[in-house]
Amino acid sequence: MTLEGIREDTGEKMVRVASIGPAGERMIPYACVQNDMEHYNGRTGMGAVMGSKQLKAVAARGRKKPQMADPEKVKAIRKWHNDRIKVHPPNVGLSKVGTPGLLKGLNDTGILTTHNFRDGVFAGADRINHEAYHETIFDSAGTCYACAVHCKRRVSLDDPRYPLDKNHGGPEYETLAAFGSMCDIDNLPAIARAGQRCNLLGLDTISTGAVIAFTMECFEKNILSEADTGGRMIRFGDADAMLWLIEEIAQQRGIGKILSQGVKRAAELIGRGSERYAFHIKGQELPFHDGRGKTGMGMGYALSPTGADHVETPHDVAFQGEAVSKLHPLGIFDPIKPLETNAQKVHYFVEGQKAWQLNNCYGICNFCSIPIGAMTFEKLVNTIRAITGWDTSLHDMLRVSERGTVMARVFNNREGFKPEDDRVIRRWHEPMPSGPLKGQFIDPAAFRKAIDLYYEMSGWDSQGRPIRGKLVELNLEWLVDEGQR
Amino acid sequence: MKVNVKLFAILKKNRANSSQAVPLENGASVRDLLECLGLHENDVGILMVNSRSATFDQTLCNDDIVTIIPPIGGG
Repeated sequence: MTLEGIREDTGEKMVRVASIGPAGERMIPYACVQNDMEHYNGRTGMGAVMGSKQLKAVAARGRKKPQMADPEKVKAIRKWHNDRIKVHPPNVGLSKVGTPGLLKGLNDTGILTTHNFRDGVFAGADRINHEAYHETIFDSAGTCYACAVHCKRRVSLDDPRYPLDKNHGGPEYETLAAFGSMCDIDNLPAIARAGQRCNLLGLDTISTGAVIAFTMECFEKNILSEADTGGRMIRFGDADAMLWLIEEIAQQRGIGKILSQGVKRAAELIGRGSERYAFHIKGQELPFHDGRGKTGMGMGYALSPTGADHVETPHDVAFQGEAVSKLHPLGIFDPIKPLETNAQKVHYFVEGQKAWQLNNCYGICNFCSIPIGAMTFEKLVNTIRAITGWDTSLHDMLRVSERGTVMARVFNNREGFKPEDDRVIRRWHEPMPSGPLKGQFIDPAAFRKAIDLYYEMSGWDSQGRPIRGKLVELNLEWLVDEGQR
Repeated sequence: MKVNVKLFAILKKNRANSSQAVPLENGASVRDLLECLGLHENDVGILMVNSRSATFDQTLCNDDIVTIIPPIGGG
């Protein structure tokens, strides 16, 4: 194992290691980066980038304490923050059951992506939710460094078919949906095993699950058959076929070679109408939240510069009733209606995107930070001031955030992305077939109008290119020539 | 008149049926219905009348189907 090997070679027990697995070495476009044992940079194929540079791992060992401008103030805010995490409802839930707790809520409200994004409710949800998790595979709670939330889960199971090692990570919500509801699989040990195999092989579980669900639907629609897999049927609900496919993908064997390219390229290689079931945005497979039940999050999928992304903006449903007060510092005062695709929603999205991009800029987890986690905008500004000694403000910080989004946009425009790439998937424009949201769909014309309004509110032209004035405003004048291409 | 109400997730708790017919006076709004059900506006995440997004002020008609889903986070 890379981690143990490096620790042994260097004689440093406390060395921290970011590494790739076989998937990254083979430059599979959805290969992830592993940090130590249980933490992953899952999305956007950063593992493939490392693989392309023939960079297997980066190891670091720190011995000095970080300097802070006002350590006493930082200490006081940290105490306030840790105390609040213990009572702030979203954090209490995460501490207690981790992200697996989301599955039940999403299923109960009809937006648990199921059967390759066709449905919003999964018949087997009770067998893969956090209650089943605790009864069957849960070992202990885990955490990232120095975090008071401790939302990670460790799992273990002594089962010869689906052995689980407590050191290799327990499935998060996204992994449960990836190998569970998306594939119609209600076998929790098999789902957890799939997650651990992906971790060891260096595959992103979201894209891997989406690729497998796509394959299952290709079999269901008779686009693929045993002739394409050397005699193996890949049906929805077949946990062993799922586990088999993960190995084929990581080793790029047989059908796995095609599937290792992600759903977009796989559909191009397979043809035969398979692209109708290959759900991606800007080439990236979708995480497992149904935009038909939260259109603001849907806008995030459409507009994220890195392709479909569920952490581009805080999800609409978090700001109902009095909870909207969390958004007051951004100038948003009315509750956000999850099903609407109107000007109010666009306004919310513009500000919400800046808020979460802010967390990205400062490297803070959305679970602890603004506006859903136990942090406030005021305290966040004071934290940055106390750490850096800069005389900064929320206004300043949001401009940093917007600058990041605009730079990524200019890059994408230069690389050939067009306004039509800012879209959601076909299935979300079709009525939800069952469940609480039965009949609900995103109206394509209203959605396009919302995207166009977003361009206008952001100071972008009708082609989604930031206008010169916007670039100058953000001190990005040097991008003017690039931006107008 | 009467409307048909469908409640989901935590809103179902301590109720005999998740789906029920509620008698209302003619011209009643969704807000009146919430009062009848003992629900607060803060309890409502998604509100639909006949499968379309609705407001609390919306006037209800006989046989309307009202779907109420509580706020649930995601990530």
